[in-house]
Amino acid sequence: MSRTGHALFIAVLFSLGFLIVGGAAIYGADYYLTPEKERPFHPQYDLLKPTGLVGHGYGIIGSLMILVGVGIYSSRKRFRLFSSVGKLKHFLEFHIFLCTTGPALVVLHTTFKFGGLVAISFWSMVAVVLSGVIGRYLYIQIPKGIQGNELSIAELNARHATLGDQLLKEYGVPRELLSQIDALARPSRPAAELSTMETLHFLVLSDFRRGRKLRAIAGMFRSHNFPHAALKRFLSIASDRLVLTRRIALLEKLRSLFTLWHVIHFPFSIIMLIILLVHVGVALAFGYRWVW
Amino acid sequence: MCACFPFSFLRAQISPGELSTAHAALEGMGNCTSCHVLGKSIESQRCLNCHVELDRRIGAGRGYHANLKSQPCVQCHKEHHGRDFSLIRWDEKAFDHRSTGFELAGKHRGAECRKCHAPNRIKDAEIVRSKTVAVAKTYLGLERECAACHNDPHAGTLGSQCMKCHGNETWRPAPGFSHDQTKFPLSGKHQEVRCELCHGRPGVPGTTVRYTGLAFRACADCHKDPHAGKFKQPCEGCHATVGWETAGRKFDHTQTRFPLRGKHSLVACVRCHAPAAGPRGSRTRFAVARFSRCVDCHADPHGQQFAARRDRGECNSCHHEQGWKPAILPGFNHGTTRFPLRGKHSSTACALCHVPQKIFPATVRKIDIKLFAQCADCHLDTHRGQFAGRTDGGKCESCHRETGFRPSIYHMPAHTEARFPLNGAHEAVACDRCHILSTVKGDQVRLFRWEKLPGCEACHRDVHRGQFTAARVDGCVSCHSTQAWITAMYDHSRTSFRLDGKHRSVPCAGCHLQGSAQQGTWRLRGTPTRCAACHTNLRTG
Repeated sequence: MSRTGHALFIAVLFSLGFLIVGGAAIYGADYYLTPEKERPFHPQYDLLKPTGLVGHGYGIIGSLMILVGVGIYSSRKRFRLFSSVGKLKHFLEFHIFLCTTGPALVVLHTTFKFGGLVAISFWSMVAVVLSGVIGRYLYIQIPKGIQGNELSIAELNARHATLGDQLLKEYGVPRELLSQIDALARPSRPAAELSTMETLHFLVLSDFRRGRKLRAIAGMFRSHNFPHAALKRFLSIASDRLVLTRRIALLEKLRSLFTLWHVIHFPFSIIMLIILLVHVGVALAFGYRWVW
Repeated sequence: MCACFPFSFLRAQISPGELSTAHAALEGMGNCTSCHVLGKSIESQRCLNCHVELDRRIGAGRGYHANLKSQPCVQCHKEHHGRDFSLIRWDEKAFDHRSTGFELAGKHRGAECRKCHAPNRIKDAEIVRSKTVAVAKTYLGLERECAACHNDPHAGTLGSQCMKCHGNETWRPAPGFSHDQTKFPLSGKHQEVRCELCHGRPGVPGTTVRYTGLAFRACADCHKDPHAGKFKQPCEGCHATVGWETAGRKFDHTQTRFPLRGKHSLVACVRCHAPAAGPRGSRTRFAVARFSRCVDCHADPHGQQFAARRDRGECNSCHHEQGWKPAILPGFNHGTTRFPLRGKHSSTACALCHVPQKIFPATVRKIDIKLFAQCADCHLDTHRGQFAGRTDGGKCESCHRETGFRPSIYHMPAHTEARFPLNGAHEAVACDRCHILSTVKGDQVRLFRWEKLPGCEACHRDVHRGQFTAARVDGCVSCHSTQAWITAMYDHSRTSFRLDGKHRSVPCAGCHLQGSAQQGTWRLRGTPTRCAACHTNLRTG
């Protein structure tokens, strides 16, 4: 898929998800904002209640989206038969689309009323989604090659050196400036001494503060009287080096965090699916069949 | 994971939410099928399995829910919304009571719901005993009969169909009640009597309101007998409900010795039967001492003028009960009197002669009922005594009749015997040419009598201009007569000019008239006799 095509793909998924969830939320906004005790007397009650024509539909479609999203990504990832079918990255993106839109519809299906055994499934779903978001964040922190494989520390250092050379040779950045730039990217303590939460905190904070860091770097650039026209290119390289430096510093930590993420994301999804099946079974047993 | 949750918490975990307080006892997985039918959602019959009183009413087609048979219970009564969720939620003010089968009409419409739907009015014992019904809150259990909420002021004596007489707007008056449908329809003044006067007043201590079992067959059941039992016949034989005093209308006077006929039947009873001094109901009130003769009650307007009659002036000889006037005709025959009425006298009003008048017709002098032998006793002498000198004394009837003053019966043959006989041309003259209006005794009347008969000149003009007045003693008649003006009676040989020859054929006017026939002068004396006075001498001219 070309870059443009990929951008289009992402845009379509995003737009679709936004429209589906946004539209459903707006359609039932008045109902959802009505206090629970008053909802049975709301004109949209029969449609939007969990067993209503629309509400029940949200649950079924949302659940199907989750099942499809989990199924196709897991299949693509785990089964060799599908290993050559498209890029895993694209499957992941589609998985993310289905497994965020689907849970959103499931939330609307619950009408924000959480109770009973199915609540375990619901909160499991929430945990899976949140962990998915975190996992996606951690995932992109671990540098990958074109094929999507993780790069080794040697490869990362080689890239780091390449960026350093570029700054040294193209812009004549002194080594002490380079060191200052690298210092901005590293945590205050060695990564091995950081706890999981401190690592996450540092990661999120450094992303939020990247702008500040780049402004500092720009200040360094000006103080050395580098040509102004080269500032943009300089900052781009410096930014890449910042990110890479951070990633190299936290690589092991990130890998261990990602492993930990698997502990949450996968088991909770299993719990979610099992209890979902129970929930669906009970609904069918009590005669709630939606449109058939 | 499951260890994190107490088992009791798990107990209700397939439930989408807590049940309301009313159904709290059904909480738990083991009770789901109390309401839910596996594979079939919720069937209303599961609800009615517990709510048997509703099931019974729906089966009987009674009540609000009977009208909603096709609607599942869950459509209105939603569960799993928590303990304090109200299963019954409705707007009392907007509720259409007709859907219960009992329309709120009249005063029922404005009543508060709980005024009727109060626990003490629930007569259905099953509802009172029911464990699924909150008696203090339920709207079930009322009956539609009036007695379910209202006390019966008739104490059950009139049945339970209150609506047959009473309406919803107000208890009293009862629009559906008609006394005509009872065994005692109200008529006349009975209709004005207030109900409680006969039936007793509700709410008054010591009285009982009774609508049945009252005595009403006889008047005496309610009324005192003012006649104190003197009359054997029932009250209604004489009296009616329109009023006690209207007894006369029903009382048959023909049963008495004085049947009421004519105008007597219109007289108010009290006019004859004046209240007596005796006690009410005594016979004196209705007994009249004298009634056999008219004068027993009526004054004699004739002042006993007819007392000398053979019938001693009995009123009914001339008058009858249909009315005083007119007197009975032809019952009264004036021919039997000394003055039979003939002609116009017969059409004259009685009062003109018999009642003193102040104004008389023009022809009436006076009326004195004692004087009637002659016309002049009543009538004016139109001729003012011109005929008083006649042999008959100028009696009117000589020329006039009772059929009318005009025309008189005086005719031409009679005129020939008058002092001025009418003959010849005088016969053709209209009467009023001679008998002109003249003043007689100060009045303008027709002149019929002259003191001295008039001569010809009284009517005719002397065309001779008095030439013969001195010479002729007998005047015009010497030469003229009524047969013809010019007669052959004049003998010319008596004059100095004898008519002979052709002179005999000459008209008199040829020699004697000077001027025109109308205005000329007849010269008779001194008429020239010489030939030349009339003839022209042809020789000498």
